[in-house]
Amino acid sequence: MDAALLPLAPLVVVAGTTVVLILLDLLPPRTSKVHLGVVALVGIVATLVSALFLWGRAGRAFSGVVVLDNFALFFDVVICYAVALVLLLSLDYLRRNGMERGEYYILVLFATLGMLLMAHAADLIVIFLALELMSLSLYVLAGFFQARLTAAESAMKYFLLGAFATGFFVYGIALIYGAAGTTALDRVGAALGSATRDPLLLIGLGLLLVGFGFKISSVPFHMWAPDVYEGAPTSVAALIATGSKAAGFAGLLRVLLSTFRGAQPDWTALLWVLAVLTMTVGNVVAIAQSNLKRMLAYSSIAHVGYMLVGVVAGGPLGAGGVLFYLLVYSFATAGAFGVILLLERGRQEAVNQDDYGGLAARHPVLALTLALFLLSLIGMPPTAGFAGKFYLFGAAVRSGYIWLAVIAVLNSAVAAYYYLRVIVYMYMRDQEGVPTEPAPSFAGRLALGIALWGVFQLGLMPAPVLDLAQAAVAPLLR
Amino acid sequence: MSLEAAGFWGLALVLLASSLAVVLSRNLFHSVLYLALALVATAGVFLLLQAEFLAAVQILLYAGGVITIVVFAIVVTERLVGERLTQTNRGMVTGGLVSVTVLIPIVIFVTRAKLPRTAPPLVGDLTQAIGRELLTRFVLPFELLAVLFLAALLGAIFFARKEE
Amino acid sequence: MSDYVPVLIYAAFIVAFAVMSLGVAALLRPSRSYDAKLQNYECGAEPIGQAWVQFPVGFYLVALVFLLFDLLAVFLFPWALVLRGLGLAAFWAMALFLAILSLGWLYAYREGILEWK
Repeated sequence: MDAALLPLAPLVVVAGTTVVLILLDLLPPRTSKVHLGVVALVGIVATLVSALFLWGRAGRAFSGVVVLDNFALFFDVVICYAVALVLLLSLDYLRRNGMERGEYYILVLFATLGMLLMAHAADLIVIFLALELMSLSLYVLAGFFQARLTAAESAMKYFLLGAFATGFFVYGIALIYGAAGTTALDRVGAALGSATRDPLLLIGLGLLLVGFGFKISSVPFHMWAPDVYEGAPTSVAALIATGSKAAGFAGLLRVLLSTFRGAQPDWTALLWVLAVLTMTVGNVVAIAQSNLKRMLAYSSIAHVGYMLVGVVAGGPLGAGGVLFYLLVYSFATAGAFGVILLLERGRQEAVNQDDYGGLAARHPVLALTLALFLLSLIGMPPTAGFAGKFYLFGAAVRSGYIWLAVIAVLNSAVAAYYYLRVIVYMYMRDQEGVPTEPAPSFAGRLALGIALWGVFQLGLMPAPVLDLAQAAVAPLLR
Repeated sequence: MSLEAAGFWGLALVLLASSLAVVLSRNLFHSVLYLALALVATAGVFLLLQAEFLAAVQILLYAGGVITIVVFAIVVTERLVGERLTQTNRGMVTGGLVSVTVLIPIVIFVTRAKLPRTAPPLVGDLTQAIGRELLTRFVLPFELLAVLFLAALLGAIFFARKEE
Repeated sequence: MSDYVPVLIYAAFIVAFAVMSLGVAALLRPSRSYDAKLQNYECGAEPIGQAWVQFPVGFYLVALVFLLFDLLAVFLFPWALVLRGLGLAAFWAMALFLAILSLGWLYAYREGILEWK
């Protein structure tokens, strides 16, 4: 490999795998595409390995438009884990839904490339292209099960609102470029330092925040999430809820903590309000949901609110806490979506609470697995969710945002209600739901196993990974 | 008023009016035609900024390519054919409110910014400068653009292709 | 900016010519319309049915592929202007750009978009 490309190994591996997939898809057989999924999975694992291998190295490439640092590598790891879980879950899921097509894996890898690029981007142009590459692929994936009525609605809504957000984002980039005369993040930061609070830069940042807000689905830019999650294939919903959110946070954190550090008082005040709104709206509306996918959508909105608490707190503790929480949240959310996906039978989705009545009797293992993921989302010790919330809210207290931490803890208590309700249905109700798939496939079980391992590994021994997360944000805070 | 200023305000008027017509027109097909006008007026703005190449791109890609796609998308869509192409704007009030709430802060902040009175002169050939930047500093975004387009093409074909 | 004055004058002449010819014609011509006169002009053939029919989706797909080459043409132009100065690296950059785009073309070909059934 070219020496100049070595720092970009994760990106190169994913891009290369995508090309291989496109070429493989052109070849026969046209009916079975499982081999494409396996190749994609191998590519993602190779990407993960290359990211771990590069840990600790720093550098820039392509005239500085992309950067390699621990921050980007940490996100590479989070995204690769999320995508790997999604791919494992998809292998059998696509066949069961009669939509085994090569495009699925190609688009998942395109989206992954966009996500990874977002983590590595050091130029607003690259951030924009990465965002678009990720979003465009996800719009198509959201409507992938064309036979379903909700698929078109899901893809359409996601596309229209996403395009709307893109408009804000580009406008923001244009204003920042107009004010700073450059799109390179470090030079924008320097321009911000010299000209004290240039109004053009501030409104540019505001518009960027709207764009990022849509991607991470923070209130008031969250309206699309429930409908999209409901209509999208469950595996894609998991990808949107984990990978694309991680990528959104990667871009957001780099722009806020590094480039716009000079304007910290301005955006902290704004994010304080957004964090409170996001977690409160997410949790309160989630209570009213009986559809599990919609409930998880609102729950994911609430978790974005918790992570924004960490962004407000700032510093290595707060920002590191956000990175750690993203990993924790991704394992638990991907796992929960995984169980829902495995319980689908044929093309019949089992997404209503009633479908989960008495699940513990029918599928003790699956029920227990789902219960553990939900407990992690609540933040019960010894699951990872507890460690994640502990560090996140602790960082807020240390930075003096006591009230924010109190609101976050109260919100977690409210959230426990709707997660526990599902567990109660599974263990204390009689069977009333539709019968479900007899036994999950090997790949599905492997995916749940990995997610469960993550939930306990990070819950019982959070310190090493937390140290890594804090080391990862160090280059931004320097 | 200089010729440039007159040109700008004339174009701004056309751009604003045609953009409003795109969203307010009751006939979908008229909306598309107004969109074409808006895109051409944007090309005019580029011309005023002495970016001839961008103006040409704007007309070739947007007014030429994208409008073609939109027109074809209308004529191949089953539901849009055979009936009168009318649309109702139920969300007009909400939409107006949202646009105003977005517009006001932008106008406030932009007018407060200290902007130079006159445009700095452009040195050299802009088209060459674009080419040079594209192939040196921005070579990665340039390739990414191809990847982005590939993903978009794949997606568009996936949705439009007939079921076999 | 003043470079465009001749273009503006030219454009003004075009618009004035069109408006004047139509306006003068409207003033001078007798207005006697009947059915055959109001029909769409179809090279002398009798028009059948509505003009608004659903077109085959193939038109849309071909337009997509057209956009692919449109994009290519746009970027070839500045590339050609600076190629001599930048040398081989620029050549390979464009080759890669082309290669990626042609993957899209290959896919379109595989999907049978260019076959007109």
